[in-house]
Amino acid sequence: MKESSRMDDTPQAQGVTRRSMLGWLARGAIAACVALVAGRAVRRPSAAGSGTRMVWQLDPAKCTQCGRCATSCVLQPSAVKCVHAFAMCGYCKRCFGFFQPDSQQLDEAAENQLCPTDAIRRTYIEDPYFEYHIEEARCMGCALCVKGCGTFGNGSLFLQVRHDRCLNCNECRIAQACPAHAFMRVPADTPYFLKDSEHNPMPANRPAKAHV
Amino acid sequence: MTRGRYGLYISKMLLLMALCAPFVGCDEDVFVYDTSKLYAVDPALIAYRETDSWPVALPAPAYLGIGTNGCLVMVGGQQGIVCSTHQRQTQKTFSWQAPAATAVAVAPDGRIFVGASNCIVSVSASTPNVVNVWTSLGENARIAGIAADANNVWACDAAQRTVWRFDTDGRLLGQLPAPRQAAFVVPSPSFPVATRGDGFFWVANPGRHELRLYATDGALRSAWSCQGMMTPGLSGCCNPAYVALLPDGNLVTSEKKLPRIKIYGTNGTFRCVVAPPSSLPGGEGRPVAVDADGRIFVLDGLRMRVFEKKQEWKSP
Repeated sequence: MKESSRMDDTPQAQGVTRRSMLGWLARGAIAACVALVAGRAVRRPSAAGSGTRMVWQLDPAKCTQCGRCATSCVLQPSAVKCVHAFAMCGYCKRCFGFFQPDSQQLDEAAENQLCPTDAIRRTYIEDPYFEYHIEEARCMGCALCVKGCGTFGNGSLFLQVRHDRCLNCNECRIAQACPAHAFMRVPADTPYFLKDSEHNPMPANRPAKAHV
Repeated sequence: MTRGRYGLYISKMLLLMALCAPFVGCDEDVFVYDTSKLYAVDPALIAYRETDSWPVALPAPAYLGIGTNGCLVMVGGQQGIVCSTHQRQTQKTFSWQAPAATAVAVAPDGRIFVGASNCIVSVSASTPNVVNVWTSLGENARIAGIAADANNVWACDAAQRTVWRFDTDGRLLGQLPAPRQAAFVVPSPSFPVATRGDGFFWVANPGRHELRLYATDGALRSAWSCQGMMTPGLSGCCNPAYVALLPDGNLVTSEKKLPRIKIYGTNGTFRCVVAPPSSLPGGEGRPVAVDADGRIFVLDGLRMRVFEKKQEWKSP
């Protein structure tokens, strides 16, 4: 009994020596420093010195509608969606974001629509005005409508990263794939680029019943 | 059924599928926005050729007018120049303090009327430095087209979708459309008007791809529309962007977004192409003007281009 108790006590007695205690403390301190540095590195970038949280956003002025937002995002469908600046919209009967460019019939038949996922809703307001809404659940950010609206219309349709679904990855895969370098970090409290009435040359020009 | 027979059926089906594959299914990529066929124009429809061009002596020329005396007027920003259609040298320059130019017209007596956002600038014919700014049309006005004859000035207000009629001294005489006439549809700031001083004037209704002929008193005489993306139609959501009148009364239209300059008859019949999209790079509409000889002047950025009809051209 005596021998066995001695054998049990010996390692514990050796483990609490001053040297081993200092060694554990040193290792703990080093681990804490490493954790702190790693934590700072992993932490989401902030505006220099301000501590503001930053998020990814896409500058519509740089966007070339290449279609990579739809295919490069880690989310499927993509967190990039088409949004609509109603203040800029002409409420056109023939909307080039909605219809195929060479469409003969201006109705909602599938062969006339440009959107491959049927994500745009067309609503009659008054002759000859129509209102166009994006169904975000269906939109995949392919930018076909944005290209059509920009090519032949007022450019009121544009792409934006929607922050209700964006994971705000540290290395955004769309930003890496974007050939126009249109992706950038913006403060989280102003996360969107808006095309508002300040950019609209004719703010008064809209049908009386239009969406405001 | 034996295994060999199954194999025979399957191989026949595979062969049939391989034979049908080129004829079945859609070979176009739905994720490609293809507009190439819209830009293609049959060369047989092009009746004009470019015969001359020269740089415009103005920093940012944007609008073009032509007088009955053959003087070309170009304006941009808050200044303008006058030059002869045959001599390229600048004859006169003028400037004003009102907002930047948005349209220009020349009256038969040589007076120049400049639409400057929400007001009209009248420039004397003899002494261009004498400038008179008329009363503002309101905060929401945006004059996108202007035309003048001996007694009237018509200013197309794209923001309020109306055509204001003034006398040449700036007194407001009326506006269009009249109460029982259909409203204008103007989705973007393109709202051209043109007259030959014969008691009638043409106004575009761009949202409906329509051209309306009014008498001086505002009575609607006729209208036609021609919507379509192919060559004979007026393209886009709102066109034409600019209109001019040939000596024979036919209309020269200049479209934006799908830039092309064409000629239509007074009843809307497509006649021919002056300049196809391939000769007008970019998406901007080009201001056009016509002189007494039927030459078509096109303000293309910083250059003035002159188009004349091919003698050998015949309608296909």
